[in-house]
Amino acid sequence: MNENDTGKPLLDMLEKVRLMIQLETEDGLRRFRAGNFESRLQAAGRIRPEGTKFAPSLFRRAWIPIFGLAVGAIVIISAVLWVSRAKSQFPAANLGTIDAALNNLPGFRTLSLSDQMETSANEDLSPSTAANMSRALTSATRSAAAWQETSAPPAGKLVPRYSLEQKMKILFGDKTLEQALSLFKDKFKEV
Amino acid sequence: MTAPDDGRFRELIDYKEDVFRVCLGFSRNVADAEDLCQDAFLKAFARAGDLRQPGSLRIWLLRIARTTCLDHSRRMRRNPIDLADVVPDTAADPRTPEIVSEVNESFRRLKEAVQSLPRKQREVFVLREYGGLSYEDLARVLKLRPGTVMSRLNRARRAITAAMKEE
Repeated sequence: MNENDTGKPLLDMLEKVRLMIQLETEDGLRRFRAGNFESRLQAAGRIRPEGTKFAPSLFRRAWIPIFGLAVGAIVIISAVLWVSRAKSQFPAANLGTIDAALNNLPGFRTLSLSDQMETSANEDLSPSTAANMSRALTSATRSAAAWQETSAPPAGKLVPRYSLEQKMKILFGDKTLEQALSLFKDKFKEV
Repeated sequence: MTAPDDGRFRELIDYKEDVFRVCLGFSRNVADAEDLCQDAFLKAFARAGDLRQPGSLRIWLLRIARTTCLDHSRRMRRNPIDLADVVPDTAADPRTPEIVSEVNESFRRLKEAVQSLPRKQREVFVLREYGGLSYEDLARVLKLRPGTVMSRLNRARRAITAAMKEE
């Protein structure tokens, strides 16, 4: 309809519409008044003892379990996705890899070699001889390790990088830290 | 929740015809309008304790009626009824079968035109033309500015008259 179409035909039609609505409303009210609305209303209120609460629709009754199931499903799916993603991002620690990395360290290679020698030597020798050999080997190992630590890595060769876990294994697992502290212990006593 | 006392019940019941007219405008026949009117009153009784301004009882009641009717309209949209049931008895009065047929057809068209209005326009039109609310009351029931009410009502009237002309 044209916005400017506000002429008489429109008003006539509007009047006709109003008249029809009036007729419809009057007819409806006539029938409404014929029925006893108040007693019907009071009866309806009595039928619903809590007064006036309507029986909830099926959806309203079912929405709590439906919502609970939906939330539960979302939580479970999220947890599964999170675990699978975490697994892919942080693969399980491979002790073999750590071991291989540690063995590639020049200092630790020497240490493990000395451990083996010490063990085999201790089986055959007397306790005093074994102790002497052990001290000598430890001293030699420390010298070699100190030399390698102070010397710069050769050009073009990558310096191995270790995770914190690997470093802790190196320090505590092989007793290196303990050995270093024991060296200083006597000197502190003297001071 | 407690039912309202007798005084409040009487006060509410005084507006039963206003509520019925609104329900008739939203629904498609007198029987539905009576049911909706009853539902609206039961809801009102249930919420009587929530009424903060007793002076605006009529507006509050008509707001409940409107909500009840809109809920009903949503349900009916999923389960439409035959519009042949909507013609009032007065239209069936008459002198010749041709006139009866023509009047019935006009009422059917009017109902279809009202039902096909967008919800916002329909509620303004029904509350104004069936409920007889003033612009100020319309604005209070719908919580709109009077300007918005008038503009929606104007659009609704144009759409209704256009639909009636086209048929």
